[in-house]
Amino acid sequence: MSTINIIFVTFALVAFLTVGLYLAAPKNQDQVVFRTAIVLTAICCWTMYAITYIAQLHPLIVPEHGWDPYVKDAPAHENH
Amino acid sequence: MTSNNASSLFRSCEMTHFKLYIPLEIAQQTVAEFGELGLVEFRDVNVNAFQRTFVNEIRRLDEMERKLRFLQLQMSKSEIQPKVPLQQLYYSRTRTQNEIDLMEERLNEHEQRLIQMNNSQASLNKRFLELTELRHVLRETTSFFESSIRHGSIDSLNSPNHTEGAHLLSSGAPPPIDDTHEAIERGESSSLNFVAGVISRQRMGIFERILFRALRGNLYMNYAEISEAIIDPITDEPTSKNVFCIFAHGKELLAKIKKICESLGATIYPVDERGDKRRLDALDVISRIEDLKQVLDNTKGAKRVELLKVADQSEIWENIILREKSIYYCLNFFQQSEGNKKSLIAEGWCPTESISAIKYALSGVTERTGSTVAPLFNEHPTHRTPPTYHRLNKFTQCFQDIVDAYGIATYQEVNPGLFTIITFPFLFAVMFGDFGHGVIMTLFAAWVCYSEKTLATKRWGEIWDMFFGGRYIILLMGLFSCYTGLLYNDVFSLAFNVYGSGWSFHGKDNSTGKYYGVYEKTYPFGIDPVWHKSDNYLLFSNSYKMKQAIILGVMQMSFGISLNVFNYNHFNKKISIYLEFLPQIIFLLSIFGYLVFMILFKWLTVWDGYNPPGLLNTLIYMFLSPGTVDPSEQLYTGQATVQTILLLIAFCCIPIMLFAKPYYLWKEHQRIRGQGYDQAARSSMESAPGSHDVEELHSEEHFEFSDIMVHQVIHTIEFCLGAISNTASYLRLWALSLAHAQLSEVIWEMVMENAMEYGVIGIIIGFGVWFQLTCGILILIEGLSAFLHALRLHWVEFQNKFYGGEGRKFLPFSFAKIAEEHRSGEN
Repeated sequence: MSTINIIFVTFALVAFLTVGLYLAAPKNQDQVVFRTAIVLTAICCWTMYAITYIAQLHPLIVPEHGWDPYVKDAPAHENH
Repeated sequence: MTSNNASSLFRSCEMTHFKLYIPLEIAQQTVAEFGELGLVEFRDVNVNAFQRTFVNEIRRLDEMERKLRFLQLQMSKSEIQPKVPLQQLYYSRTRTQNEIDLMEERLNEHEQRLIQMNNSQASLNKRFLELTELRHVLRETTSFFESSIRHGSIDSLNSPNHTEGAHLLSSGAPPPIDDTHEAIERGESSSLNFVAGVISRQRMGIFERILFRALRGNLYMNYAEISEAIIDPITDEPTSKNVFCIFAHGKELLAKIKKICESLGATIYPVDERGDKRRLDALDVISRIEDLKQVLDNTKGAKRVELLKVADQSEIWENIILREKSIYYCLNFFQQSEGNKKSLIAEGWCPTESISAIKYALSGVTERTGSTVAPLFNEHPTHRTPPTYHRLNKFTQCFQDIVDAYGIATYQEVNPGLFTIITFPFLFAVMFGDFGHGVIMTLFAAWVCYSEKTLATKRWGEIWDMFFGGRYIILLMGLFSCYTGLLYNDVFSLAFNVYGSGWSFHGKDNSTGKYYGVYEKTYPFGIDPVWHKSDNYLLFSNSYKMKQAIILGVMQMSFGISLNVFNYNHFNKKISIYLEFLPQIIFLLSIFGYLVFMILFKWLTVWDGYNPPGLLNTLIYMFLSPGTVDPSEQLYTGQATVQTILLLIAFCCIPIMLFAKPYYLWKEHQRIRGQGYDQAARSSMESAPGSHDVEELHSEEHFEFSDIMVHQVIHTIEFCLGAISNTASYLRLWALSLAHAQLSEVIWEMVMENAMEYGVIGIIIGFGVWFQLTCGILILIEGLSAFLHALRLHWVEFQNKFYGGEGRKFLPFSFAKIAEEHRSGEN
């Protein structure tokens, strides 16, 4: 059983990385662009990752297969 | 993000309005310096065209430009390419007046010489044409005569014999002897004469018919086609022509024939009757043609040499003329000082942070020209709205273009272009989530970005220019697509299984004949690969992608509303934070923020066997029957109370949005009037020396409560309805993503999986077809559609929350920009 904790762990990781890059931004006129890009990228990517993870955390439906998923060469075009 | 750094992309640069006094004698050099600098925009101070000072100079440059164009046209006719100067030479220094004079002189010389050469060449060409035609006429007439001789009428022309003449008339065929005809000939003429010449082949039919009618058949006509095409000296076009030779009796008839020839544009050449004379003529003509050819070649050579001289310089000249012209156009914006007319007064805008650079440049000009009077640069406050100027580089340019296409930012308001850099490619990628397609896109864009220096010079048409201009957008779109593709676990519609599926299967269920997965753990990154070939994949992915679209949408819209705070702070409207921003954000969050909360709550709840409520219904019943929640549809205890409170808060926000700001403005207006300030302000403004600026201020000051109220009502309705429709609009993220995944899967199944059944050859052919379909449909067409939808989400759903877009773009006077525009205009 997985828990939600991994979300917070990744959040901490991403936040750490983001802060690091934010502080390491070059001190020229592109600094604002660089920092904004870093922060927004972190937010967008982590959010989407987190959504994808917790959407599968407590599944309400189970995957159904019309054929044995462990058989490698299952007839591919019968599956839908 | 909140930095006040003036040159950031967050808001446009602070601008300063200036007044510049330039001594007339160094005006040209000063403006040239500004052209190099490219940081100053001049405003046209002159109201009417008569006030313009430098009309004659521009006319002179126009004349020079015309001459240069003539020379360039001659060059392209002679297929001589202009020598492209080195790049640094392209932006070369500005020329002095002397050099311009010299250049004009040289242009004149070249033009004169070329015109002369063209004239002599034209007359030579005409002569050449005549001689060529004459040669053909001589040759063909000789052959006519010879053919008639073969038919037994030797020397028929020298000693005309009537029967033989009749032979000739019927072109060698056994003649039906016409007695009356013969009689007429016998009576009227003593000799059978002829006219020979050349006519264009198209006119031949008409010519023949007219002649026949005019002479009532009393002629014998012979013609032959000239095999080589004759080049018309005037139009330079090859035309096919015929040689004709008409025999007729009598002077009148011959005169008539000549007249008809003239009117139809045929050329008549004198041909002697005697064969030996003709032969001599022909020899003479051939030798003359040879001579003429020699002369023509010489002329052509001389012209080529002349044009090559021009080709060396033409690009440089063109650039100089362009510069000089733009300088004088700019100078025409200036006002002449009243009185002694010894200086020009310029007004315009420049970025505040560049003032020192401008002053430095001005002192440089004074030093170089050795002028005793230096140009005077003064800041000159005005009530005009300054232009919007973002400092861009090649990376940020294309993103700002997306925003500018919607509307130029109002002066100093928050610029969505800064956020578009990431959010645009991200939202694109949500719709375009496929690792394989993302990789292809990234590789393409990376190649373009890597070799941009060489590719920038390529002229591959408009579509290529579009891709090239957006190369950094495409690069980021590709990178984000790789990421979202990994999350969706889509690689050309297949799936990676890196961490091992979190589901296991324990045999077939006998009642349904299906295999059901058993949950063990959650796949740590992205969607579990087990879903990919499952029967109910769509059920799962639709729910996931739909909810994700809502969450991302609410996030972006809340962010957009929050950006208003920066605007209110910057424009000193702090009260609007409470009157506008807070009710708006609370309204949005209490309805759709709550929806996001419910989505997350439902995902995070362990539903062991319980039937979870439908969120859409919950939201609908939150409005339809507030205060009651069906126990079977309940997410959490106390849900009814929470929903009622949220609903109340949302409804309370509406009157605040509607009335708070107009009421505040009205109150403020009353206060000022009560203190009598507005009268004082108005009279002080009127006592100031008359300018348009005062009027502008007055119209702004005028308070009309009904206008403000109407505006506020529209704004509120737009916001409240927009909150709903915009949230729904974000569902396009789900729809496009679904379409992309499905299309990709269909193409894989229809092509590759079928092809695999035919062995190696099938796979090779199938792969070719599949790859083309993937690139053409999935990456190009689907990419374009996802691009357009991301564009819409930014323009409408995101920007209408905070972006005014009522600004005017700062258009500095810059040689580099002018040269670039000129070049793109040429291509």
